[in-house]
Amino acid sequence: MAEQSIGWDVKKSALEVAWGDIEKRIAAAKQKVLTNNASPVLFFMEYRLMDTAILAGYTGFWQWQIKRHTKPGVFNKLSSKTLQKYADAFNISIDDLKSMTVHED
Amino acid sequence: MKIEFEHHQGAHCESGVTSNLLRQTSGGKITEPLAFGIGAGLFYVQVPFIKINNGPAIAFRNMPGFIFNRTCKSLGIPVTRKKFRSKETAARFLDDRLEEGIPVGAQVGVYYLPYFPKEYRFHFNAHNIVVFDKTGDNYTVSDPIMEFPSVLTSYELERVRFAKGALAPRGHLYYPAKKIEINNETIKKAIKSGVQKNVFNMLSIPGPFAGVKGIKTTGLKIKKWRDKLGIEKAGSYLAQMVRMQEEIGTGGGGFRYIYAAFLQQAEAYSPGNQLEDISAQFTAAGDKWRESAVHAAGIYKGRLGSQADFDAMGDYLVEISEVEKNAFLALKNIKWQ
Repeated sequence: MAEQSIGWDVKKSALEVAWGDIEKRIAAAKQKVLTNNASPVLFFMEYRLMDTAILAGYTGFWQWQIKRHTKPGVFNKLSSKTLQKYADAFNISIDDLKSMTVHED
Repeated sequence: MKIEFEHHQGAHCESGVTSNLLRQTSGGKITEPLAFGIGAGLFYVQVPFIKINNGPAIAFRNMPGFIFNRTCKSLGIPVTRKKFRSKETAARFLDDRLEEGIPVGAQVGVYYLPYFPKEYRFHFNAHNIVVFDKTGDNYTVSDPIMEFPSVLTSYELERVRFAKGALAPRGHLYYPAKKIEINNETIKKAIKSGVQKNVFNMLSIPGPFAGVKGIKTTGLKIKKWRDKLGIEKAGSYLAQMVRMQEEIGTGGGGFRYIYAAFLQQAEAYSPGNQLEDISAQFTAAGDKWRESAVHAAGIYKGRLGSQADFDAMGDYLVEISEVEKNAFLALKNIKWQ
């Protein structure tokens, strides 16, 4: 029965809808960062399919802190220790975080 | 030390893990469908007010850890379960068990699970694997959705054992505390107890959100989704529902097929209770879920979209609710032989 469901078109398209929604959110976040309306924290949060609650779990920050860190002005002043926590949560390097660089993994 | 453990691919992660963990103790008798049924795995709930991945929180089966616990309890096998606050203690506890030669079930999040198919990597934390070997820094794990055992570094394993978000596993481990011989009589009793527990969960939990009433509630809500959410978001919601129903590890049809298989296999241990006849009703329910998913796909792919289409979608669930109600009533009314 497990075999039946693999490659079933209905299921495949349900997955495609989910990923389509996610890609839209990622693109919107990217645009916001490029126009200096948000920091890369927002971009990677969407890229890693997280919300502030999940990111709070991984970083140990409060959700309100994370919301603050999504502002470019605040983000630019963050210490490297804080940035490292985000980098760990997103499984990337600090440089990638700052430059919004994505490596396939 | 080399641990005796056989990896088998399963349809559903937790019943697969349960069946794999009990394979030795039970002499292979506890197949995956039996584990699922004895563990009273079938369920339906739409958790109100909560969103998962920006969509409705719908589940077709029970909470993680429930099936293993229930199956062992019904078979008279004592269970050890542990969650951890500290990652170090969690790792040491696991290493000690492996040292003693005990394969251990672990709840993990799939998002950072490196071998997991990429398109299935969401922050889903109720996945189950068995850890059964450690060599150097590498753990060998048995994941029921994979064809072969996989290898994780200690860092990778720690990361998924301490995944964050809803249902965070917090290092959750479980295993049979003692080896106990299981005979056919025990299995027969366990089947009865599993069926009765599942009847209760689907028919008697108060409130409109759980069991067959929950299915109907979702059905009625779907009819309002088009006006309330707009066509695009309503489509995404339906896609999410179908994903939960047909996701890797469900056996398809929202676990209804695997439950039907359970009743069929149960017949051999517990004849004279019409389990095999009733099994057909669950296959029918599974087929209906599948049909409804095809209709839902018409909506989220943009082929359908009128209010009449949403009404029909809702009616599918109302009808399924009725089918499953009757199936569980049939189970409830068994005069156990």
